[in-house]
Amino acid sequence: MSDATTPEQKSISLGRDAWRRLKQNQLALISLCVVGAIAFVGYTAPIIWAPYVTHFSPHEMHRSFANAPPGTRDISDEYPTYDGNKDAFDFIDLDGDGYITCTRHVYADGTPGSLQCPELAMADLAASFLLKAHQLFDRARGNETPPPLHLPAAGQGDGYLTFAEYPKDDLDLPEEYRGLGLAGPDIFRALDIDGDNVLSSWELVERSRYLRYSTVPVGGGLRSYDGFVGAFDRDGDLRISRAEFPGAPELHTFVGGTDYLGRDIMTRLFYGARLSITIGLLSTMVSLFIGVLYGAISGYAGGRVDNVMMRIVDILYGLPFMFLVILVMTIVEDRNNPVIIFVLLGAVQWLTTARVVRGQVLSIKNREFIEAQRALGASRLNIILKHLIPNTLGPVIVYATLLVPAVITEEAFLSFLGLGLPDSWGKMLAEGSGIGSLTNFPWQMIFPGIALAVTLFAMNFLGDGVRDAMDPKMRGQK
Amino acid sequence: MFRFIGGRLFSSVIVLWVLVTLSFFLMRFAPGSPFDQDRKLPPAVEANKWLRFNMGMEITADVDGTIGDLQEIVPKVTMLKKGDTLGTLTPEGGAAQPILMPHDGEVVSLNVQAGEQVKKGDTLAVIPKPLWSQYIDAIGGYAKLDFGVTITSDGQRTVSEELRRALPISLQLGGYSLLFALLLGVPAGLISGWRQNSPLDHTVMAFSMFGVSVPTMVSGPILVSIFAIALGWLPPGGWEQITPEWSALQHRILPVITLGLAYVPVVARLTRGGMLEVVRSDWMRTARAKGLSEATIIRRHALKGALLPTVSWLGPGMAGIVTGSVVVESVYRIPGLAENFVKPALNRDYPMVIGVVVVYAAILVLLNLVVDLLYTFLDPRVSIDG
Repeated sequence: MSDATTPEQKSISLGRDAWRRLKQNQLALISLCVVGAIAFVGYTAPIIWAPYVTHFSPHEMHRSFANAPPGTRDISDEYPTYDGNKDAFDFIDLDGDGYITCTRHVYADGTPGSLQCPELAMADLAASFLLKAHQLFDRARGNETPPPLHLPAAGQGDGYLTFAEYPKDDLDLPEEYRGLGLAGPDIFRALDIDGDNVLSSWELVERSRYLRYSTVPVGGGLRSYDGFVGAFDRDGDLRISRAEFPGAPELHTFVGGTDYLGRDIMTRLFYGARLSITIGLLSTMVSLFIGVLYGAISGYAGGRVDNVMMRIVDILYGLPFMFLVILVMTIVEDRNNPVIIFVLLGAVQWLTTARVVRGQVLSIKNREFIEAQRALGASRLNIILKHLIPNTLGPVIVYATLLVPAVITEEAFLSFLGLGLPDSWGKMLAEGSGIGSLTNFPWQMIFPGIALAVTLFAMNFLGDGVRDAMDPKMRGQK
Repeated sequence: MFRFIGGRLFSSVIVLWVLVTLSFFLMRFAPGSPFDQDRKLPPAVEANKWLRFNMGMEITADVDGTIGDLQEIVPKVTMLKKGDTLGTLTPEGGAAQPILMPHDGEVVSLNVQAGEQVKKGDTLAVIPKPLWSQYIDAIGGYAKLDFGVTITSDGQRTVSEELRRALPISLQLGGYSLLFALLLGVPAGLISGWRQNSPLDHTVMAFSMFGVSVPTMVSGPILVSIFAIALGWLPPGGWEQITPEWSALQHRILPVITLGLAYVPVVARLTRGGMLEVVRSDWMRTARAKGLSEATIIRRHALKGALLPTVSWLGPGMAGIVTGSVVVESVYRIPGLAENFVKPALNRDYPMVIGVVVVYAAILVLLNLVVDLLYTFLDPRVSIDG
């Protein structure tokens, strides 16, 4: 309180006072940091996390690595890195002319066709054999003489290719892989990195990386060599010389495993964070806009208008609003449009805001400063917008901080039912919570579950902290 | 009292009417019809469907005669105005009469060919009914509790049959869950409010924060993983109506706990808030001063007041439980109402969707009324006659 007799004591605004109290609440501060971190990771996902940390984009599918557990490694399609080791060049340069040669067919009308790189294509074929070897030859123990080329059903193998299981010569291979020198004991030994006489799938993936140079461009499209050649063919002759060769692609880890399409779960989580935070904030704003206006008008008008407006709110309170949202979601044409989602979610969340604001307005509308405005001839709209609404903001902010997690839950709920956005945590949860996935690939549910729960935790704690800070009387009464 | 109930019932009817109207027009204004399937139906078959689901009407011949020229019409594509001629009909020895469109719209199917002999009353074409006429028919049906036949079952089952099968399941799930939430939440809240800031209070509040922050779509799969997959104690899904009773009960445990757990913290917090208010009141001080035992004070004086916030939450809370059950039913593959809402909505099964909306809304509105009456019973200061 500033006072004429104590000039050294500065007056503190409500916001500053609340911030001071919030800073004393450790739990709320930690929550604030967590929310900030989640938002930061979400919004920087496309520029930092996907290209430089996880090295995977949320949409690239690693078909050979569908449902892979955390820790599985593969090369990245859209953000590949290279190890700088030139030895791999000799594997690729089959004709030994010192160049990986590509040609581009140009159509008669001048449009360029796709890039043809026979040496890289040969390498890719060999790589695809290595990635498929388990599916082709792995048998459960005790069944070591299967008929040639009999494909075991998924899960029949024991996860290791033994020396006996590995093809002895080209005739044991499917036709398309013959003539590449892929069969035989020497190759088996070359593939067996740790020398334990069995091939685990990580060994095959590690060996296959020297052979894989086709990439999918950022933003999707067909698998091609354009990315590789475009990035490293500095002199533009469509040939990669030994000096230009960047080394073999490096493997990157699926830290959170992959989903049923072989997409990196961790990267998808980061993109999901961006979506959740955005929807949470925007929907809350929409709902505040409606609720504050409705509540202020109702409270200021008073009497019969107020009565009717509040009766409407009472009635709407008892209705299952999400049903109307589901209904609208099923009929909109562009279901992947985030604008529709946040407007809809905001439009069904304004009831409590309206009540809170009305209560505030009722309590201050007959105070002197409003009377003064009336006496000065200010218009009603002017009084509501300039004087009443700003004075209700305290409780509104408190309510809004608790509304954000509620909206995030609802967005996840919609996506869980298959009506929301494809990048959402709710969608990931839905994909991961079938009985089959829960039993065999639990990471598909655990990671999005943790992400959602931690976000809601932090936001709820922060909301409680903000409420305590804005209204010390409420402290302890939850 | 009766005036209050009458007024509430009246406003409930208005609410239901608004909801039905809203759902009706939302669904009808959506692009596409429920009969747009992957494979194209022949116009005659599709016309039959339009008629069967009361969405189409026939243009019939006024007199016996011969069809003259017919317009070039592509079914469901050509848009016609009111009064456009579809063709001409020539009675025996009379002048040609035009066949007119009674209102704007497209033609679902044209049932005759040029030169064909028709009798009076034969169907010449099938066109969609005007929206308002469909709407009036529908509302008339709903007033008689007739919701029509479901489109996805190809008219084999009525909406009422589906509801009769699914509603008890959803009611059981919701009811048990609410009971679970109250049985756990109310005592927790009472203790926590009675002994504010004790370690017990802090524990309850910490758990309640946990419950608020873990939505059913996370807790459900986790519970399944633990109790159904890892330990194998309970079945992972389904809602069997089979004997012995124990087997049926087993199927109910996990869904009820999942849905109930989400509302335990809400109930606990509200009860605690109510208790905190009551504890500080004058009559409690009086009760203590009289020398009553703690148990008697809680039972006779504190309980009613402490329950007030929870009771007033019950109305909106039940709406929440209804919505929450959609996720739980989907996690545990329970054939309840949710199953009959999301899928039909995606398939544009209008009658089914509106049936579910009406039933849910009616239940909720009714329960809200009960809650309001209960409130006056618990809190003598509230009078509904005033």
